[in-house]
Amino acid sequence: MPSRKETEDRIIKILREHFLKYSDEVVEKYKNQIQAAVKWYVKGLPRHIATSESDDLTSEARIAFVDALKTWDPRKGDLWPYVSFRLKGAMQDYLRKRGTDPVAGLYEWITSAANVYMAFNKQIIYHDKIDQMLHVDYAMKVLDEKERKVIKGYYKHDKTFKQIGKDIGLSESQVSRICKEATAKMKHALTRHQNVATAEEPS
Amino acid sequence: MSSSKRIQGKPVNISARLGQVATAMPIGIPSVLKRFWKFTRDMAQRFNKNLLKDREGEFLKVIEKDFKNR
Repeated sequence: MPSRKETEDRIIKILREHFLKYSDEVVEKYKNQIQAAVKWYVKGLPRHIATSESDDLTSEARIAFVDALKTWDPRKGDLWPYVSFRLKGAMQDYLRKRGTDPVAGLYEWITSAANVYMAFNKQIIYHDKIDQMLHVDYAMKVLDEKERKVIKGYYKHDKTFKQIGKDIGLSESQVSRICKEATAKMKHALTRHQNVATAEEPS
Repeated sequence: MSSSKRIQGKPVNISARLGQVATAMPIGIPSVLKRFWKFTRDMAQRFNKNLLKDREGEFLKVIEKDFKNR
Protein backbone atom coordinates (compact mmCIF):
# COMPACT_ATOMS: atom_id res chain seq x y z
CA MET A 1 0.00 0.00 0.00
CA PRO A 2 1.47 3.35 -0.99
CA SER A 3 2.28 5.85 1.76
CA ARG A 4 0.49 9.15 2.21
CA LYS A 5 3.33 11.13 0.64
CA GLU A 6 3.53 8.82 -2.36
CA THR A 7 -0.19 9.18 -3.03
CA GLU A 8 -0.06 12.95 -2.67
CA ASP A 9 2.94 13.14 -4.99
CA ARG A 10 1.08 11.04 -7.52
CA ILE A 11 -1.96 13.30 -7.39
CA ILE A 12 0.20 16.41 -7.79
CA LYS A 13 2.06 14.83 -10.70
CA ILE A 14 -1.15 14.03 -12.59
CA LEU A 15 -2.61 17.45 -11.90
CA ARG A 16 0.60 19.19 -13.00
CA GLU A 17 0.78 17.23 -16.24
CA HIS A 18 -2.75 18.33 -17.05
CA PHE A 19 -2.03 21.87 -15.89
CA LEU A 20 0.99 22.18 -18.21
CA LYS A 21 -1.28 21.55 -21.21
CA TYR A 22 -2.70 25.00 -20.49
CA SER A 23 0.64 26.77 -19.92
CA ASP A 24 -0.23 29.29 -22.68
CA GLU A 25 -3.29 30.24 -20.70
CA VAL A 26 -1.21 30.72 -17.56
CA VAL A 27 1.32 32.89 -19.42
CA GLU A 28 -1.55 34.94 -20.79
CA LYS A 29 -2.97 35.39 -17.30
CA TYR A 30 0.36 36.49 -15.84
CA LYS A 31 1.72 38.47 -18.81
CA ASN A 32 1.26 41.86 -17.14
CA GLN A 33 2.94 40.68 -13.97
CA ILE A 34 5.87 39.24 -15.96
CA GLN A 35 6.20 42.51 -17.83
CA ALA A 36 6.15 44.44 -14.57
CA ALA A 37 8.81 42.16 -13.07
CA VAL A 38 11.07 42.71 -16.09
CA LYS A 39 10.49 46.46 -15.97
CA TRP A 40 11.36 46.53 -12.28
CA TYR A 41 14.55 44.55 -12.88
CA VAL A 42 15.60 46.61 -15.90
CA LYS A 43 15.12 49.81 -13.91
CA GLY A 44 18.03 48.85 -11.69
CA LEU A 45 20.41 48.17 -14.58
CA PRO A 46 22.88 50.61 -16.19
CA ARG A 47 21.26 52.57 -19.00
CA HIS A 48 23.31 51.06 -21.83
CA ILE A 49 22.35 47.51 -20.76
CA ALA A 50 18.73 48.43 -20.09
CA THR A 51 18.19 49.82 -23.60
CA SER A 52 19.91 46.98 -25.44
CA GLU A 53 18.78 43.99 -23.35
CA SER A 54 15.21 44.89 -22.39
CA ASP A 55 13.48 42.82 -25.11
CA ASP A 56 15.77 39.83 -24.61
CA LEU A 57 15.14 39.91 -20.89
CA THR A 58 11.38 39.87 -21.48
CA SER A 59 11.57 36.73 -23.62
CA GLU A 60 14.02 35.17 -21.16
CA ALA A 61 11.58 35.87 -18.33
CA ARG A 62 8.74 34.19 -20.24
CA ILE A 63 10.84 31.08 -20.85
CA ALA A 64 11.77 31.01 -17.16
CA PHE A 65 8.10 31.38 -16.25
CA VAL A 66 7.11 28.30 -18.26
CA ASP A 67 10.05 26.38 -16.76
CA ALA A 68 8.98 27.36 -13.29
CA LEU A 69 5.47 25.99 -13.93
CA LYS A 70 7.03 22.55 -14.35
CA THR A 71 8.54 22.61 -10.88
CA TRP A 72 5.93 24.56 -8.93
CA ASP A 73 4.45 22.64 -6.02
CA PRO A 74 1.03 24.01 -4.97
CA ARG A 75 1.48 22.48 -1.50
CA LYS A 76 4.26 24.95 -0.77
CA GLY A 77 2.46 28.13 -1.70
CA ASP A 78 1.03 30.25 -4.47
CA LEU A 79 2.44 30.34 -7.96
CA TRP A 80 3.49 33.97 -8.31
CA PRO A 81 5.82 34.32 -5.27
CA TYR A 82 7.69 31.23 -6.42
CA VAL A 83 7.80 32.22 -10.07
CA SER A 84 8.79 35.85 -9.50
CA PHE A 85 11.84 34.69 -7.57
CA ARG A 86 12.77 32.39 -10.43
CA LEU A 87 12.27 35.16 -13.01
CA LYS A 88 14.79 37.42 -11.30
CA GLY A 89 17.32 34.59 -11.14
CA ALA A 90 16.80 33.75 -14.81
CA MET A 91 17.37 37.37 -15.85
CA GLN A 92 20.53 37.55 -13.74
CA ASP A 93 21.78 34.31 -15.28
CA TYR A 94 21.05 35.61 -18.76
CA LEU A 95 23.10 38.76 -18.20
CA ARG A 96 25.95 36.72 -16.71
CA LYS A 97 25.92 34.34 -19.68
CA ARG A 98 26.01 37.25 -22.09
CA GLY A 99 29.33 37.97 -20.40
CA THR A 100 31.35 40.04 -22.81
CA ASP A 101 28.48 41.69 -24.62
CA PRO A 102 27.50 44.18 -21.90
CA VAL A 103 31.20 45.08 -21.66
CA ALA A 104 31.29 45.63 -25.40
CA GLY A 105 28.20 47.77 -25.02
CA LEU A 106 29.92 49.70 -22.26
CA TYR A 107 33.00 50.19 -24.45
CA GLU A 108 30.83 51.55 -27.26
CA TRP A 109 29.09 53.85 -24.85
CA ILE A 110 32.38 55.21 -23.46
CA THR A 111 33.76 55.71 -26.98
CA SER A 112 30.68 57.59 -28.11
CA ALA A 113 30.70 59.68 -24.94
CA ALA A 114 34.39 60.48 -25.49
CA ASN A 115 33.66 61.50 -29.08
CA VAL A 116 30.91 63.82 -27.95
CA TYR A 117 33.23 65.34 -25.37
CA MET A 118 35.97 65.82 -27.98
CA ALA A 119 33.51 67.43 -30.38
CA PHE A 120 32.56 70.02 -27.79
CA ASN A 121 35.98 70.59 -26.24
CA LYS A 122 38.20 70.33 -29.31
CA GLN A 123 38.76 74.07 -29.54
CA ILE A 124 39.63 74.42 -25.88
CA ILE A 125 42.17 71.58 -26.09
CA TYR A 126 43.89 73.11 -29.14
CA HIS A 127 43.90 76.52 -27.54
CA ASP A 128 45.61 75.09 -24.49
CA LYS A 129 48.29 73.49 -26.65
CA ILE A 130 48.86 76.65 -28.65
CA ASP A 131 49.09 78.65 -25.45
CA GLN A 132 51.70 76.29 -24.10
CA MET A 133 53.69 76.47 -27.34
CA LEU A 134 53.56 80.27 -27.31
CA HIS A 135 54.82 80.31 -23.74
CA VAL A 136 57.77 78.05 -24.60
CA ASP A 137 58.53 80.14 -27.70
CA TYR A 138 58.46 83.23 -25.54
CA ALA A 139 60.89 81.65 -23.10
CA MET A 140 63.18 80.56 -25.93
CA LYS A 141 63.55 84.17 -27.03
CA VAL A 142 65.49 84.86 -23.85
CA LEU A 143 68.23 82.43 -24.93
CA ASP A 144 71.10 83.15 -27.30
CA GLU A 145 71.80 81.04 -30.40
CA LYS A 146 74.17 78.58 -28.67
CA GLU A 147 71.84 77.99 -25.73
CA ARG A 148 68.87 77.51 -28.07
CA LYS A 149 70.79 74.82 -30.01
CA VAL A 150 71.67 72.99 -26.79
CA ILE A 151 68.10 73.09 -25.46
CA LYS A 152 66.60 71.95 -28.77
CA GLY A 153 69.19 69.20 -29.17
CA TYR A 154 68.78 67.96 -25.61
CA TYR A 155 65.00 68.24 -25.08
CA LYS A 156 63.60 68.07 -28.60
CA HIS A 157 65.94 65.67 -30.40
CA ASP A 158 66.96 63.61 -27.34
CA LYS A 159 70.65 63.98 -28.03
CA THR A 160 73.38 63.46 -25.43
CA PHE A 161 75.61 66.30 -24.24
CA LYS A 162 78.49 64.62 -26.07
CA GLN A 163 76.62 64.58 -29.41
CA ILE A 164 75.50 68.20 -29.00
CA GLY A 165 79.05 69.22 -28.10
CA LYS A 166 80.35 67.56 -31.24
CA ASP A 167 77.77 69.43 -33.38
CA ILE A 168 78.54 72.89 -32.02
CA GLY A 169 82.25 72.35 -31.27
CA LEU A 170 82.16 72.35 -27.45
CA SER A 171 83.12 69.85 -24.78
CA GLU A 172 80.53 67.70 -22.95
CA SER A 173 80.98 69.57 -19.66
CA GLN A 174 80.57 72.96 -21.35
CA VAL A 175 77.32 71.81 -23.00
CA SER A 176 76.08 70.52 -19.66
CA ARG A 177 76.80 73.88 -18.01
CA ILE A 178 75.10 75.81 -20.86
CA CYS A 179 72.04 73.54 -20.67
CA LYS A 180 71.74 74.08 -16.94
CA GLU A 181 72.00 77.86 -17.27
CA ALA A 182 69.58 77.96 -20.21
CA THR A 183 67.00 75.87 -18.34
CA ALA A 184 67.21 78.24 -15.38
CA LYS A 185 66.79 81.25 -17.68
CA MET A 186 63.72 79.70 -19.34
CA LYS A 187 62.20 78.77 -16.03
CA HIS A 188 62.65 82.31 -14.80
CA ALA A 189 61.18 83.77 -18.01
CA LEU A 190 58.15 81.46 -17.89
CA THR A 191 57.46 82.29 -14.24
CA ARG A 192 57.62 86.00 -15.00
CA HIS A 193 55.32 85.57 -18.02
CA GLN A 194 52.84 83.61 -15.96
CA ASN A 195 52.78 86.21 -13.20
CA VAL A 196 52.10 88.96 -15.74
CA ALA A 197 49.28 86.91 -17.30
CA THR A 198 47.71 86.27 -13.87
CA ALA A 199 47.86 89.95 -12.95
CA GLU A 200 46.17 90.90 -16.23
CA GLU A 201 43.27 88.43 -15.74
CA PRO A 202 40.00 90.16 -14.78
CA SER A 203 38.87 89.23 -11.26
CA MET B 1 -38.28 34.32 36.90
CA SER B 2 -38.58 32.95 33.56
CA SER B 3 -35.60 31.31 32.10
CA SER B 4 -35.20 31.15 28.46
CA LYS B 5 -33.32 28.26 27.07
CA ARG B 6 -31.36 28.99 24.03
CA ILE B 7 -31.44 26.18 21.63
CA GLN B 8 -28.16 25.77 19.86
CA GLY B 9 -27.97 23.59 16.85
CA LYS B 10 -24.93 21.70 15.76
CA PRO B 11 -22.40 23.76 13.81
CA VAL B 12 -23.09 23.57 10.16
CA ASN B 13 -20.25 22.02 8.25
CA ILE B 14 -19.70 24.44 5.40
CA SER B 15 -17.50 22.67 2.95
CA ALA B 16 -17.45 25.51 0.47
CA ARG B 17 -16.82 29.19 0.91
CA LEU B 18 -19.50 31.68 0.10
CA GLY B 19 -20.05 32.02 -3.60
CA GLN B 20 -18.35 28.74 -4.36
CA VAL B 21 -19.96 25.42 -5.00
CA ALA B 22 -18.33 22.48 -3.28
CA THR B 23 -17.34 19.76 -5.68
CA ALA B 24 -19.11 16.68 -4.44
CA MET B 25 -17.27 13.40 -4.30
CA PRO B 26 -18.38 11.35 -7.29
CA ILE B 27 -19.83 7.92 -6.76
CA GLY B 28 -17.74 4.89 -7.53
CA ILE B 29 -14.26 6.33 -7.09
CA PRO B 30 -11.47 4.12 -5.74
CA SER B 31 -11.15 3.99 -1.97
CA VAL B 32 -7.59 5.40 -2.07
CA LEU B 33 -8.82 8.49 -3.79
CA LYS B 34 -11.76 8.72 -1.38
CA ARG B 35 -9.32 9.15 1.49
CA PHE B 36 -7.44 11.89 -0.42
CA TRP B 37 -10.49 13.56 -1.91
CA LYS B 38 -10.18 16.77 0.09
CA PHE B 39 -6.50 17.07 -0.74
CA THR B 40 -7.16 16.36 -4.43
CA ARG B 41 -9.90 18.95 -4.58
CA ASP B 42 -7.71 21.58 -2.85
CA MET B 43 -4.82 20.98 -5.21
CA ALA B 44 -7.10 21.04 -8.24
CA GLN B 45 -8.43 24.39 -7.05
CA ARG B 46 -4.91 25.76 -6.59
CA PHE B 47 -3.91 24.75 -10.11
CA ASN B 48 -7.22 25.99 -11.47
CA LYS B 49 -6.74 29.39 -9.81
CA ASN B 50 -3.91 30.16 -12.25
CA LEU B 51 -5.93 29.48 -15.38
CA LEU B 52 -8.17 31.80 -17.33
CA LYS B 53 -11.11 29.39 -17.45
CA ASP B 54 -12.59 27.28 -14.67
CA ARG B 55 -11.26 23.76 -15.19
CA GLU B 56 -11.56 22.31 -11.72
CA GLY B 57 -14.00 19.60 -12.81
CA GLU B 58 -11.67 18.69 -15.65
CA PHE B 59 -8.76 18.24 -13.22
CA LEU B 60 -10.81 16.04 -10.91
CA LYS B 61 -12.00 13.86 -13.79
CA VAL B 62 -8.39 13.33 -14.93
CA ILE B 63 -7.41 12.20 -11.42
CA GLU B 64 -10.43 9.95 -11.12
CA LYS B 65 -9.72 8.34 -14.47
CA ASP B 66 -6.07 7.77 -13.58
CA PHE B 67 -6.88 6.12 -10.23
CA LYS B 68 -9.57 3.91 -11.80
CA ASN B 69 -7.20 2.66 -14.48
CA ARG B 70 -4.48 1.62 -12.06
